[in-house]
Amino acid sequence: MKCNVLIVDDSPILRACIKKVVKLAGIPSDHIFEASNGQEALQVLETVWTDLVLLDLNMPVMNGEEFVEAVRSREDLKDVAIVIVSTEANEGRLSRLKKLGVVESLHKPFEPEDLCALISKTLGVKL
Amino acid sequence: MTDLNPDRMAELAIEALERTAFVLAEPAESEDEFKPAYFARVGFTGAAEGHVVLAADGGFVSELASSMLGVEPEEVAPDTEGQQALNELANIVGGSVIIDLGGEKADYKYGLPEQIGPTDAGATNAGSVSGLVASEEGHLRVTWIPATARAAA
Repeated sequence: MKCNVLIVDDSPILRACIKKVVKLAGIPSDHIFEASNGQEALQVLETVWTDLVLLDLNMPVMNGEEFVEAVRSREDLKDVAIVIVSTEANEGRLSRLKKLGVVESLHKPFEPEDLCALISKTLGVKL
Repeated sequence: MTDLNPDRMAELAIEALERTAFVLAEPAESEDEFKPAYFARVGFTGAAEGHVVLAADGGFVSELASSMLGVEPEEVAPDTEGQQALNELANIVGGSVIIDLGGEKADYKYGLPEQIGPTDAGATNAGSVSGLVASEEGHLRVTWIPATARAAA
């Protein structure tokens, strides 16, 4: 599978955790990228074709919501698939993000198999 | 919405541990052997205001980090990876506490989880609620400190 996945979370240990799950979903290590905030993530998107972004919301420098707004305002990035992986549960905020084009959201704590299934569903591939 | 009590705090911590890190834990009965050395805090404003504070011993943070990373506990550096793992657990448990207090429709703002020292971790008072859990390698205490109670302290 040649999909590229970008993990955006300010917690290095949670990025490592999510990376394990992404590899279980069949994505090779060299197709998995990381960023610790929205600004870093934008820099990755500008250099790497990305099929899926797994995005935390609560981050320093540029938070997840600001990142989504930035991505959706750019013609060259507006079709990148974004899945929220966050402790955020406020329905209003998640609804606003879905209107901005976020594909799905997964609430922390999540079951690894749920994230795995979501990755496969979003990328349209089988586990 | 739920009223927080020590049992509920322990329940929220146990659920977060099992789902996030596959760490099995159960409510602990006694704090006699608990000597926390690692502390993390996350703050909230909005529908509910206050902090969730986590305190853990070295055995717990090593177990948590090793399980999250999929490595042996000896391969984990407690002061960095263990603390990072505890910070993230504070983030996750804090989110669960906020939902319990305000419900999913409530509007609130999360702070960023941070490492703190024992003095800040110990700034509890009459409004605080704590739960204590024991895993195979150590202990974790989770405390909700409402803002009004903190201001009065």
